[in-house]
Amino acid sequence: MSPARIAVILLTAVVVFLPIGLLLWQSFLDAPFFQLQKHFGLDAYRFIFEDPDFKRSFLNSLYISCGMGLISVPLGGLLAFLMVRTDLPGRAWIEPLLLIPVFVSPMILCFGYTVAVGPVGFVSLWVEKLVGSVPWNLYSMASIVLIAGLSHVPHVYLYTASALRSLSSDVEEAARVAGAGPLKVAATISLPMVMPALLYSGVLVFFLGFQVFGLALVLGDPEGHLVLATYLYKLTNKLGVPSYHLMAAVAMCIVGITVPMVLSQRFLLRNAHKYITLKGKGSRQRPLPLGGWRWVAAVVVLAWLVLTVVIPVSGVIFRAFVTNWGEGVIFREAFTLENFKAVFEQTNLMRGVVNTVLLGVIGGGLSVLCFAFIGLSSHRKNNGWTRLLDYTVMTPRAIPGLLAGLAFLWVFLFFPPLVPFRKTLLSLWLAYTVVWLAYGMRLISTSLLQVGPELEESARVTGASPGQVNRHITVPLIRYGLLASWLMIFMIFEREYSTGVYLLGPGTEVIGSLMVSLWGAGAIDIISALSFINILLVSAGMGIALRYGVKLHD
Amino acid sequence: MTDIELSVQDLHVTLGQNPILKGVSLEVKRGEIVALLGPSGSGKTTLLRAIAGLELPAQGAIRIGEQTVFDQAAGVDVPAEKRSLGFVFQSYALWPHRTVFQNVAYGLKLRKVPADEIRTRVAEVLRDLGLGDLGQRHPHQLSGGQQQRVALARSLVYKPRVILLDEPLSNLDAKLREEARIWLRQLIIDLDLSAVCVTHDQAEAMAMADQVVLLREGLIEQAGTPQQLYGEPDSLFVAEFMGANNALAGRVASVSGTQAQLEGEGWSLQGRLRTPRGAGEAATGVIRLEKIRLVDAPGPNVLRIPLRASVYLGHAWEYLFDLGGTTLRGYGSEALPPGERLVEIPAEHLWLF
Repeated sequence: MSPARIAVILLTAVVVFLPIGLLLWQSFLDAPFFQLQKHFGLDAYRFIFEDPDFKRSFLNSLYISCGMGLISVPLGGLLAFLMVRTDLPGRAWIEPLLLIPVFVSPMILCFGYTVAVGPVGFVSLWVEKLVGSVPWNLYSMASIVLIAGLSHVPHVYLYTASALRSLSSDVEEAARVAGAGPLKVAATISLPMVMPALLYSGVLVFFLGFQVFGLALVLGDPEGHLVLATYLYKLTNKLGVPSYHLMAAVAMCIVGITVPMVLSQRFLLRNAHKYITLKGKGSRQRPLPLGGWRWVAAVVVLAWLVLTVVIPVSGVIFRAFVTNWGEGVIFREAFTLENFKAVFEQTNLMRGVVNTVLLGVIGGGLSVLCFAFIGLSSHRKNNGWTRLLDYTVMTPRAIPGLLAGLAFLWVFLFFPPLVPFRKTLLSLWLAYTVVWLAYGMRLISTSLLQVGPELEESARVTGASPGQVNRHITVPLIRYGLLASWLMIFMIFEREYSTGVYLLGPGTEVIGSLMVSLWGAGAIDIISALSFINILLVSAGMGIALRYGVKLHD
Repeated sequence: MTDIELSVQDLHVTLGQNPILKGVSLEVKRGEIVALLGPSGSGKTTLLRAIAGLELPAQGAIRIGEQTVFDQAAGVDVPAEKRSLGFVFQSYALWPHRTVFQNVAYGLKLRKVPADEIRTRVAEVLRDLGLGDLGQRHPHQLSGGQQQRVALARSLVYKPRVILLDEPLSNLDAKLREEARIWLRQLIIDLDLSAVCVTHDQAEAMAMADQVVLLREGLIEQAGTPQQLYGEPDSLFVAEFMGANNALAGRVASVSGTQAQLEGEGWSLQGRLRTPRGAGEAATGVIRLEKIRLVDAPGPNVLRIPLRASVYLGHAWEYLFDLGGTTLRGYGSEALPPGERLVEIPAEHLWLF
């Protein structure tokens, strides 16, 4: 290992583990870590464990996680099977729509639900006119679990679909020839072979459940349903003073649940290899004809799309163009562009929009550059250093953005060389880059894996040093992969809302964190306008991706 | 002054937990072509990669010309890029984002050769290899044979003294391959290079190489000229690997010097002992298919056995005889009806192992 590679790996480890270490240390203190008067102890943990709100939050988080697993795993698996294996009508245009819940912030989707199917939402009012009352309560725990579950279907879909795609149909055809009917084939061959993917995505959804923040913030607020992340967020209000040690203790509880999950995913992935089927060039997939069930399946998929995408997105877009909404309001009279004018006139909001774009375009590009350096530092190496990097890269997956933002706030507040940068986008950019490190590294390593080792080796033998191989061969070969990663990171950074919450201040506003803070103030007009702008930004990204054939998933 | 261009001493390579090479030594003289031959998994490609510096040996030493490039005991390990070798990969490994010219020029650029000289030297080597006007193409616009020659040009342009070839012909179709091995041999001789060439095809090894090194499970089974390996195999493995054989299981009846009498079910044949065997020991008699002859009169080492079938191969007929339950195969120029035949198994070509 050259010193440069080791330096990159060590720097990555420091940037990832320092803020988390700070959280851990703080959780065992009884006062903020920067004060002189402080003592080690378990006071913080004692306090939150005795707080009934914490217990309720934990249980709610557990309900949401389990509910999400129960809803999204079967639905996601079914959706993947329908999309990949059958002749479901309209597969080509359903595919990009499926990804909307992945790329549109849950905050926005939940505003949309409030506007559309909340107590005075336009769908609710319409239903009330038809049947006399609204037969659902959007703010109940059941609705929260249902919406969380439905909006995580795409996560399961992505993993299962890619597993199904890599399954060549000849293994199924072999079973058919051996005498198994189509149902038997699905039950004994196809399903068991994608089981690792289903299990993996199940664990993923389960720990994403413990990280749920925006959804619970918007939908849980009206009836006071807290989850762990919103409990943490509200701790400050609860005690009146910033109680760093309590926040850190809650953070450690969340991390304590998610870290084992992330580790178990790794174990699952390692075991998944025995199911790998070769993807030869000849492996062709013949779609299974659904016959009369075709249209039933189409209706089910369509219903899911309407419920998860059409209703919330149309709701939030609709709300952005009206002054107010409720019973007896007529759209023609309520139509307005004032909401957008307000955004453009308030400097902090306008700055938020500009910052979001800057962070996505320039910050995203810089992040991809960093990811590429990190990727190259462990490329084709397998030793202690690369294992350290492996764990470093994996760790941020277990850290919800809200906590990472908090940790980075502290780092930027009290680490002297960084203090001058606290009110700049650098603080946000660093936090975003760490939070999305695992995702970004997966994008990069997918590209790197496609470079044949002999292309690099032949350059070595020809006389190129390892650095020259990187510059002349490897990087030029993955340049399109890097551009595609930039686009993906752009979309993810546009969507991100929770990481910026604690870092929000004059100069570091972004649309996502502004929405969280405006939600507390109830400024639904402005939020809707910001949501609309955010949807436009993400759509621009998706549009470019679709236009240039960038794969939105693997 | 020595004319050894490449020497490998007691090389051990372990990949992961598996020992791949277990102590291999070889020497390549100036202008000599050495073929590394062996079944898959025998370690021949690993040996080539270790010479190039692409695998780190656990033990041993490698010298190129006067320079020690690897010596485990002395802690010497010259990185691949400093060994100044030519290497042609099985897949050719042409860089897809560079034109043919840029591919070939790369090694010169790295050696800081002036741009003018790069242009003339690349043009020269492309012309010599019959790629004259393809400089501006990208690799994917070339045929397999052209790609192979670009890969060669790329490793020859900076004039290495030793060139390593990993199955250089395996991606060509059969007809092209037979022409290419003669062409390649002539090219290496014309340039006065030393070459090590990995192949799993014994015919290719014999046609191209001055020396053949047959590897088996990480050790050298036998090394020598193609004639030695084909004509005087030291072991049953070498005999079986180098050509098409008949194998006759039997028992040694008597021994006199290097001659011995092998007996089986209803037959007794004289043969040459290739490994020491005493009377009464079990042994295998091996004879090449082409050494079996049909004769008119009985004599020593002539058996009267039934011909079961004649199989048409195009260039010859293959006869299948029945020798006490074992099938004995031989070649002839015409179709023969089944029936009893006199078959000679010449004693000087029957090897006993």
